Amino acid sequence: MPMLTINNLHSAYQGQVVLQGVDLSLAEGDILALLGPSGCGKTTLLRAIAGLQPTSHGQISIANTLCNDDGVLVPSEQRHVGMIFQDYALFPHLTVAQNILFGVSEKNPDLRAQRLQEMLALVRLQGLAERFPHQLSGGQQQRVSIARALAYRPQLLLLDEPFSNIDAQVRGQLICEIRQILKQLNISAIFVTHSKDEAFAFADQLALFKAGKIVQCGRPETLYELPNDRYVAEFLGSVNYLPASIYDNYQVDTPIGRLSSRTALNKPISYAGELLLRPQQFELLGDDNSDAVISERRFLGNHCHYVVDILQYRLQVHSEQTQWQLGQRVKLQMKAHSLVVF
Amino acid sequence: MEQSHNLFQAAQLMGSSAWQSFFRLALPMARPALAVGVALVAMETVADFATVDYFAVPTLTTAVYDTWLGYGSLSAAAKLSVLILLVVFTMVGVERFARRKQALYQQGVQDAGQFKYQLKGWRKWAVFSYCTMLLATGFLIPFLILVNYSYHYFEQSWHDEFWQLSINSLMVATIVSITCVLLALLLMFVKRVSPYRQDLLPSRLVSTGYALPGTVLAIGVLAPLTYIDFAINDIYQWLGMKGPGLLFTGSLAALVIAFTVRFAAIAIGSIENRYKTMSPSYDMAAMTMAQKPWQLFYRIHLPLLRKAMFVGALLVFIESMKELPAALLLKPIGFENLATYVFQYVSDEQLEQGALAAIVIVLVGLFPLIYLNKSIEQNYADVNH
Repeated sequence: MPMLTINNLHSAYQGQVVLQGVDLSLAEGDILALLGPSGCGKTTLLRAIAGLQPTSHGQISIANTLCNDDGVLVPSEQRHVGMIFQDYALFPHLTVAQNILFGVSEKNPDLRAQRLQEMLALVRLQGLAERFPHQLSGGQQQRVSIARALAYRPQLLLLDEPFSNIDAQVRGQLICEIRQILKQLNISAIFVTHSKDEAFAFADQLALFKAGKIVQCGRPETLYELPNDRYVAEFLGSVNYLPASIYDNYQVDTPIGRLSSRTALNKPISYAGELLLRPQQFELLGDDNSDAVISERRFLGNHCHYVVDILQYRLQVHSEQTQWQLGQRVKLQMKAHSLVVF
Repeated sequence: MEQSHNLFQAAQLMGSSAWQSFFRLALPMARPALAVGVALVAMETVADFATVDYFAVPTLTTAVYDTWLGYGSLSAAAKLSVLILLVVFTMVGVERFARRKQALYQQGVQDAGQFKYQLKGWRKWAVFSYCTMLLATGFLIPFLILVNYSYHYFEQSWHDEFWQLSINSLMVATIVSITCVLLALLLMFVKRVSPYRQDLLPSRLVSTGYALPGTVLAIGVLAPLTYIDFAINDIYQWLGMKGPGLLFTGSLAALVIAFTVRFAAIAIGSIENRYKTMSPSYDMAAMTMAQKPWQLFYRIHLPLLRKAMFVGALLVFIESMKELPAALLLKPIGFENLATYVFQYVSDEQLEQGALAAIVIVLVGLFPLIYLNKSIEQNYADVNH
């Protein structure tokens, strides 16, 4: 059963069309990342799902209840969605305990105390219940806001850039921790970010946004390996393009030779276009007779970033072999992978 | 006006002396702020009543006062008031325009910390004496004269009536500050939660009240209230009953209404500033946790606004204690407060006997100001720590 279904959603904000025909579906227990550059409409979509942003056209259903449609608008307070904000939105005049219990409608004091303890244990903040938000670190504040949203027992959790204010050193760990909590409770979540690394680390599904539309949605691996278009390919990682024409279902001719794909190609035979090659899909072999030569080299710790000139093309190559120096002639080899031609 | 000290450090590194930094940097950057200051002073001067009246300088404000209280002509007073309004609105326009520029000039002020030149020798003493002179002539000397008068004339000034005057002043100021804060809360909450642009209008409108000179405002309040009073009495008469008399113009209601119109802007400003520092995500968080608007107000906004409400009320209170022209024009017959009492003695060239009341007004305003300055510094420290 899908937890969330969105059909052809449109929204305008102060006269500007922000969402123009968004379709999306989220299975129960899944975590979906809305990824895109700032100003592309991803936060607007999140707010529309929460009922905080008016929509002009299209439907949103949460757990099979129609929430937005022409003439239908279920107010935020009846949607049972939890929301985590970029600035955490912890109420500064309330303690951690009061914040966590803010949305809990349970009246029985024992049950309330029990819920509080559960939540504190879940986010590992036992002993901090009587602190005020300003006495906590950024990561702790974020965990309180997660606990507060979960204590309310939402059907769907929405996270708006939740990790952007967290120090880079602890961000990775916090992402893992929160992902674990959501998986443990089988909570469906939608998460907005402009960082592909956060999206890869946190989400089961990825929806890439461009100017108010979703350009591709699916598993992160699929989007990375088989992007629909150049925008998706370039957003998710570095790229090289080489002119290419399709030879048969699995092979493609390029200036650096005939290359084979692990899966069937996405274009018909004799189609001429450009082949996508990621920098880490090359292998470099020393070869003094080769016409490829290393023209730039940057050492990056666990790998080296090379620029290789071949014919009139410049290719970016990431290699764990750090021994090649400027001017070294190398032979380019492809690692086996699925090829994509645009 | 806050100026980034990085700019001054940059200038100093490029070999600019203190004087050069002042003329080439500080002064040009302060131009919009100076324009704002000039416009505000001009507005206050046009609106001033007591000073010009004492020195018998005939101005528009004294003319309004005389026309109404002397000749009893409300319509002529209203016409004169419109003239003052014209001047005031021009000044407000200048002020707004300068402020817009100021925003431009202040773009990119991240760290408005202080940049200090350490003065030495005669320069140090020259600056010190100039600043001391301002404080002395503007406040210390007049205040000491007042203290001296009230000491010598204490017997004549300290009587039962004095208590009544103080209580009258305190009562009006208290009612007005509570009314202003409640009004400001209502308007600002609507502004905060309403998605409609037209809901901003009432608070904008109310905020313009502060620009109105007391004299003009009094006439503006008087005209409709007189009409309502007459209408009420006419209805009673039509029903064959005896009318209730002057319900509004004959009671404190007119005074409270006029003061509220004039000072609501202060309470609004205080509460609006606090609202601006409150993240909109508080509201969204509360709403997604099934809170209705009134719960949002009661559980989140009200506790966070508490200090701003108090500060707003305090500022309105001080202003209400001091306000003279509106009080003179609108007070019910037989009602006096500290301000009108002082004015009466001053007009009769018996300044000495009004001195005690004047001191009470100054002190009532001074102590809260000290508290406010402290709390502003405290806030500044909180934000910057």
